[in-house]
Amino acid sequence: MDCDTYHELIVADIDGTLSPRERKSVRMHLDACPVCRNARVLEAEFAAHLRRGPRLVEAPQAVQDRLRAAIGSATRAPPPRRRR
Amino acid sequence: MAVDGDLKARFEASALPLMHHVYTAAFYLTRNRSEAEDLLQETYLRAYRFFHRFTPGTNVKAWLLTILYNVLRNRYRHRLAEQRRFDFAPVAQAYERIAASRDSGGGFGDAVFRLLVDGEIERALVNLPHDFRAVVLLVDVHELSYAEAAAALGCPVGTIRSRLSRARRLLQVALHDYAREHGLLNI
Repeated sequence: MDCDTYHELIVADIDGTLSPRERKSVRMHLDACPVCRNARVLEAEFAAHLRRGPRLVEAPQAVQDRLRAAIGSATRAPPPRRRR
Repeated sequence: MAVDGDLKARFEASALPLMHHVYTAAFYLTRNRSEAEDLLQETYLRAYRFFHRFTPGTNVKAWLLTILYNVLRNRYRHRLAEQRRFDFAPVAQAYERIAASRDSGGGFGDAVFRLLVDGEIERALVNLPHDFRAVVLLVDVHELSYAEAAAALGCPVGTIRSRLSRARRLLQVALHDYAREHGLLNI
């Protein structure tokens, strides 16, 4: 595996999604590769930064109201067979 | 009908409060407010229509974002295909230089991230190629698991990993450039 592939595992490791076997493989690579060791530190710092932002964007109030009204009046069930 | 009324109440209680998540994703994916509003509306109406297929106890947010992505893909197939061609090699090299420069006092990292103005990360995200933007949104902004993100985008988990790794490098290279231009680096 090259450093490019290890970068995927480094990011996944920081996100806590690696299997124990993969984690071991990353650790062994990090012991041998100073560039990836730096990348590991950088990625951990960046992941923390990403968690703080970007912020969610609110839909305009008018759009929210229109949508609520549309859901409120929508029929979800199949159309009735005859009119009441 | 009582059953349908119950479903409506559950939809209103569980799905409607997540509107800002769906809108945020729609906004970042289309980079356009009116298209985002349109996508939000279509996603919710479709979600409501198919709410009986939603499995209670699973992640409503992931389910809504999956629908959003399907709506988006149906609408913008051509535009998305055009954006697929992207040469990552120069980015990988730039990132490697940045990572290597930590040892020689390049100074890029946490201290710089803290100095970045709020809007800068958003701007970098908006400028990512579509496929990378989608993964960062789902995983980093909406906090879906890799598996949920893979399901939403209809791709293997391995693709999520590889796109996320590239997207985070792209973002950092963009932020590094910004930091250098604004004198935030001590190189």
